[in-house]
Amino acid sequence: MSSNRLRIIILWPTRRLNKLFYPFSKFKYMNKKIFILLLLSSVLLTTILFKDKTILGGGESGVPFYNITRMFKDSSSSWLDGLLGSYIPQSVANYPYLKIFSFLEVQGINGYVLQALFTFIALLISLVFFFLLTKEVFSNYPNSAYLFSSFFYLFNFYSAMNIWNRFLLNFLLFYSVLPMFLWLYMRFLRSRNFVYLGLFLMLSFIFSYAFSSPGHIMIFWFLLLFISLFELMKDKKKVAQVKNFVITLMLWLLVNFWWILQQAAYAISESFKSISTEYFSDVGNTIGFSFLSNVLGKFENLYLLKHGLFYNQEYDFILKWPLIYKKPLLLIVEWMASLYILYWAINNRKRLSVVFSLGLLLIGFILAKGNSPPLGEVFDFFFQRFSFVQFFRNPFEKLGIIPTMGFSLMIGPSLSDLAKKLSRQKPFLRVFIPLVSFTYIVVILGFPFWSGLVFTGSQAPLNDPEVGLRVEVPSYYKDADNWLSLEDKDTRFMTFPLGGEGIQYLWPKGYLGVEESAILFENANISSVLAFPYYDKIASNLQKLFTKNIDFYKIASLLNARYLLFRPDIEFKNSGMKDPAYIDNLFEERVSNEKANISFASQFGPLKFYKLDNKVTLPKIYAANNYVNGGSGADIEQFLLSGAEVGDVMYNSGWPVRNKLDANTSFYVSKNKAIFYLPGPQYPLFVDAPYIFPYVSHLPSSPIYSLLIIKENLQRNLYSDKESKLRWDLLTLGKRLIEVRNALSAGDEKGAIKSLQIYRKNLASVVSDIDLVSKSLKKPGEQVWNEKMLTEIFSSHLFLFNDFEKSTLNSDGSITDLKKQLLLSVSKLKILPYYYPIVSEDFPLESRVVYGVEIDSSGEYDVIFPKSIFFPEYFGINQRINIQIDDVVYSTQIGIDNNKVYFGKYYLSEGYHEISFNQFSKINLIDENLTSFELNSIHGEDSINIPIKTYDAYSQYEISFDYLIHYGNGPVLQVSLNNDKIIKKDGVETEQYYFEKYLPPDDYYFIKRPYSTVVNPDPSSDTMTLIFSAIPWNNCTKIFYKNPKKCSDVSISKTYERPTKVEITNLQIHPRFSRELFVLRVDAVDEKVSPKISFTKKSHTHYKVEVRDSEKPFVLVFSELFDKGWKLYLNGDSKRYPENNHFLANSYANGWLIENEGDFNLELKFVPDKFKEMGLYLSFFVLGLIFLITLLLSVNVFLSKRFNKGL
Amino acid sequence: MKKIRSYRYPIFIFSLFVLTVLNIIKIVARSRFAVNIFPNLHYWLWTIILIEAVFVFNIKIKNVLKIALALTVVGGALSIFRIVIAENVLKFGFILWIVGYLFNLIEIVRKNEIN
Repeated sequence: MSSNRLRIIILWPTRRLNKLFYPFSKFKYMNKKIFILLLLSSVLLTTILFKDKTILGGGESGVPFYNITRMFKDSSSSWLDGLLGSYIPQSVANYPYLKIFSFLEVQGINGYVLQALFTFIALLISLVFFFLLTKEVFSNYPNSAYLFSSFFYLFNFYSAMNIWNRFLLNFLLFYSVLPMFLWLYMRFLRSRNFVYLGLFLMLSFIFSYAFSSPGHIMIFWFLLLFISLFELMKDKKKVAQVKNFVITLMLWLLVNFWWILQQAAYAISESFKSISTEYFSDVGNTIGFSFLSNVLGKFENLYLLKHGLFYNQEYDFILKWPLIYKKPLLLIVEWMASLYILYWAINNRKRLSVVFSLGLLLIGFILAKGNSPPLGEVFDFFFQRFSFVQFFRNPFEKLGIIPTMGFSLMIGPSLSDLAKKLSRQKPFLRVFIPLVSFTYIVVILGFPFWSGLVFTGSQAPLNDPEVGLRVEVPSYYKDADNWLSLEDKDTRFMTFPLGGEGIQYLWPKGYLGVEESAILFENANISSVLAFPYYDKIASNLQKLFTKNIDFYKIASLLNARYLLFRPDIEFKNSGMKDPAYIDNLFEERVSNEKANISFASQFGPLKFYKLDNKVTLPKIYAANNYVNGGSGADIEQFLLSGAEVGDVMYNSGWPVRNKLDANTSFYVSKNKAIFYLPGPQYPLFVDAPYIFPYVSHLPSSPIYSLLIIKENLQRNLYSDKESKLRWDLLTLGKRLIEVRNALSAGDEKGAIKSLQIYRKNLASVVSDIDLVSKSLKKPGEQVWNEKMLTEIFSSHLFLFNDFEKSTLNSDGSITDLKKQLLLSVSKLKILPYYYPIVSEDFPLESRVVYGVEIDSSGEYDVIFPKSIFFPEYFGINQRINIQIDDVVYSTQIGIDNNKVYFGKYYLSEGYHEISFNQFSKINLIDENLTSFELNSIHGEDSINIPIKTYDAYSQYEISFDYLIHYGNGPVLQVSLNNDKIIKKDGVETEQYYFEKYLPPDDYYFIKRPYSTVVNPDPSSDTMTLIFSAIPWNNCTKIFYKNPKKCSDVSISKTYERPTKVEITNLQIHPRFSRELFVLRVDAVDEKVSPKISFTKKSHTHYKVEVRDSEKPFVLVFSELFDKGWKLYLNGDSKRYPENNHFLANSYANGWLIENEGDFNLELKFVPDKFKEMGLYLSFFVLGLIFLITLLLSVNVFLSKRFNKGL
Repeated sequence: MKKIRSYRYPIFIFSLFVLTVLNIIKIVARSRFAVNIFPNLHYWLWTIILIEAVFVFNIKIKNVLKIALALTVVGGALSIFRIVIAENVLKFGFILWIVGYLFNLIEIVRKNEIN
């Protein structure tokens, strides 16, 4: 075949296509020398960062490069088998990147080498492609201009803090690959060469990890749209440009369909709905958004691309390096650079490339400043209406990338123009300007990078120059992991001490960051409290249940955990965790007690594994024996209290299947929904404070009353956030009642009725708003948002209603109705009890506690407290007390058994009930000789430490005392716990007390005053000490108010010192009754015969179950986190088992009521996982097609060149 | 467009009037109502006034941008010395940047002055 014929055959199809696109051959690659320079810079930076041959980690990123294979396994499906199982579709997008790195890890390449490789690739891509992008936007400039832009994109204040210091790998990768995608897209639009689009699409598949956050996707497409608009302005073929944008979008969606489909399926799933309602609320997000916009959206920082706090607050960084950039001289240089770019932009304002870059800068500023003025209302409008905008709750953090890009694009060309202009006047400036630019960008801004400071933090050990983000995981973790995998790779384990998301390990180089057991161990484990549905409630209660209950094995079996791990290698004080020594002793105790069913298994370094006896463990899938109805909010603690045994199951009463289960239920146990303290003797208490009842100037019958209401509404609308609006509504609600009172006293009944009508109307909306705001703004320990304030407000309302009830207004009973409506609403919100406290001579209103309980099955219930939280030492037992159930008073004898304290048995019908009694036998928990003392401070501090006897961290304590300041300063009360954080203050390590209160002296009249407070201690603490202290009086700073620094000189300050004398008397500390009360009913039911169950695990999203000898309906429990995506199939049938039979079992797991009899097989599948397969097939097909076309086009170009040369 | 342009004087005068009234209430009467409404409204009013001013007084876009730059220079200098009003100056400067940028963009598109 002749060469000409061959040429025609090969080139014909591609030439047809090629006509559509601009010739690829026109593209000129970057100068080799430049590439080598960028390559060397990347190598040098990588070498500096990894010179110690350790992986980098800590903070939010953890240590992903410790075990990439483990991460890869997690990304292979949207269902993660870690923790108790969890549905995380975002992880699927990590698949290609993790596949490559896990392949390399399996080949034996060390984690730090892989991390260095990752960092090197990110650096090189970022440098090379920002160079090319600048060249594409601003053509005809010398290479040095593009180089400066490229280095500035790497070394700027935004990237130093938000990208490299935070070290979140997906964000880092996104920042690095963004210029590459923008350049390829720009080239595609300009040259219409499909090869660029092909590369764009193929690379988006490989770097899909960069798009694992919806925020990144939005920024990405915003930038592509912005480019398209500018190209549209320039190009005459406008339709073609629009078409190109649409084609790119469609193909990108198809290529990334495999993970986009997962995320889309998740967004419409029940799991997402429950997460978004429980963990993210519009109110909380709006408040966070406003706060962050206010703090980080200031122009004095934005113009310099600086994070408002990081570069301005005094954190404990090495050399306090971020503050170096706050020195006046450097600030002047930073401002000069910004201002010069703006000046240059004005002079070149007709150039589209400048308009494009300046547009990025200005729009970026508008977006990155969030809702702060000016014109922040636009962002606020979208933020409050469109939930997807809420991904930008911290606007500067994510959207700051846009102005950074605009700034970086302009800096190189603008400096180049400056050099050119000045060198015309003075030739030596031709070298001087680039030299200054180099010094500023590469030396000054690059300093934290070259020095490695950017990889350090502000807290120990991250602020140790030798440590920083370097992490060295002790080898005993690998040994422990290997041992456990060999023992049983499918079982879970629990770790104690158990803490929150953050942890400080005592590893060779230290570690401060997220808890890392998910990476450290192959086996699923519960080692920290994380905000996942169902999981967080279980994990947050686990340590309490472990420390308080000898039969904890029942809980462990429910959670399908066979092992317990003791980890002492933590800094427990700074991690907010329990003292490991306490846990160690507890394990020793449990091992020696047969009832605990636990034994020592193995030790690796300081890590100790304990194993539960086989007889008390359950397989992952089992058929339940007895059923426990745990009420509407069942938690695993109720399972222990009910008396149920290993193999039983607990269910929530809110599921459709409940009626069928109730017929065979043995135990009914419910926990109180609300608790109210009525200190007495007055109830309701009237508080006449201006925040409850504002001043009323006009009666409702006044002619201008309607105008006042309009003014109130106008004023309400001036508040932008829901919380402030609610405060305003509460204020106006109280105002209405005062209007009623004033109208009644003026004999204006009509006016009173008018105000009451408005009150009735507004009450409903206020109640629903309180409910809404409480979901996100309720503080820990509070039942409702601003509990104390609301109690005062509605108690005062109730007081007034009692008054109105006696008036003529109530002749038709309307006031009584409205009062009932108020009581019903506020009791539902857990603000006040519904029933009035009954008071008699032998049942006075004194420290009364009221428990609100919801009963969903009528019957005789025992009122009980778990013995573990109701100490006989505190309250005493075997006594008769009065107890009020709703509006009836009973007299009952308190009884006790192994694990419960009984407060009598009562018939409780279905619905809401209140159980109340006076707290009794309150012992003082301090030594008698310490109840009164004096503090005499003549020179220096005088203090007294008072330890608390019989301390229980899960109780609340009322502290009260009287104090008399004879002369000088007031006393300070501090509550010190054994796990108080240690902080560095002026270079000295000091304890950060759990509670601190200074009681200042009066201005004029010194008398004995009472003080009381309630302390709710950290549940992880083991001891509590009260510290009273006083310091000498000193008026030095008042005298030298113009120069108070003088007083820091002790010799001067001392001369103004006068002694302090304070007398403390009647000091008392009493434990409060437990906040948790339970009601329990045990019914006899027919004995159940459970079928035989065996199962095989095909994958962690697919199980096959064999059921034999099923005689009656039974409950099948699958101990993996509850999710509606788990579906059950009968006998290989494609039809799913009825959805109504699926319910939440054991507070977290999946349960199905199986109504089939005999022998049969079941299949359990996590259905959303199949979307990944479907998506992958489609994406691979499209990707293959794109690859072929791209290859064909490239071959065409190559051959054209060769043939052309030949010709 | 023509119709809108014919309203430029009334809009300009009305915006200026509202701004002046609010300022007087804020300064003289110190009413909480005015203080509350002011931060939300005055930047918008300023933006409208500045856009109108460009029309009414035929201000050159280059000059708008130059004033914006001048305000940014002053704001930047004040911020170096940590003077509180720096941020407000920068905010007004920013409004001018936006106004200037938009007019510049419109002019480029209208006159097809693309380089």
